[in-house]
Amino acid sequence: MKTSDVKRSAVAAAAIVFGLVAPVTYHSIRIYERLRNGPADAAMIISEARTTFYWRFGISTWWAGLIAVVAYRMLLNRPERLVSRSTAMIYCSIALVPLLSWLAYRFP
Amino acid sequence: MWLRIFESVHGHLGVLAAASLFHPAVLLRKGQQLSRGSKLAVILATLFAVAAFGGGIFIYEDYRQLVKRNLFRASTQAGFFFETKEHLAYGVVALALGAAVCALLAPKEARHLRKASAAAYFTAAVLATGVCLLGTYVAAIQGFPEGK
Repeated sequence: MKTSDVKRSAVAAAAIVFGLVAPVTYHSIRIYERLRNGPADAAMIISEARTTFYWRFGISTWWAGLIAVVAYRMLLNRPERLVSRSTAMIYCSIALVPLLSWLAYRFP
Repeated sequence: MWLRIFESVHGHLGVLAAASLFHPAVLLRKGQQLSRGSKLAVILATLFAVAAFGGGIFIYEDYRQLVKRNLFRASTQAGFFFETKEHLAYGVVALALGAAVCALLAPKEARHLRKASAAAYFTAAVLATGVCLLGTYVAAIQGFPEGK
């Protein structure tokens, strides 16, 4: 594989890592909020600051970007791992459907 | 009136995004290299998802002030469904953006990466369908008041 192809592959894989990590981080923050404040109730959600969602959104995006950069660096150094990691990403993506659905329903 | 129109546009864009996100999932499932038309499909599907999410963000503040309280009053379950929808929507956009970059940048012989992109698009599409169903249910219970 050419060097430019290795870089492109690493960026492509890192992009998927971003897509997988961002929602998981978002829901992790959500779970933390619920554990800290107790179960969700209507009054609490209505009185929540409008910036809460934006912060959650911003932190998840930032963290996922950071992890994607780390993944890029790792894959750049070990390009032979790309195939196995891609397969893992496929399984992770599919697993996210029930996981995210359940988490979003359980911690509204 | 404008808020009701924006709410409607947001909903329609969401349905469009949910339907169009399945397309790249099918196109990329075998890992074949993308043609120009397929690249356009990937870009458009992702843009629809981003536009629907952006529309939601745009009306979010007014929705909080004018609808959310009444929504919880009308049905607590519907209020919680709105929150669920909001959380899932973020996942849809993140997955779609990641999958789009992956599909567009993957080199010619990297079939495995395009397959991973297809899986991410599939996940985004399924979650987007859930978001649409929840959004439709919530909108049927309570939307922006007449004249807003």
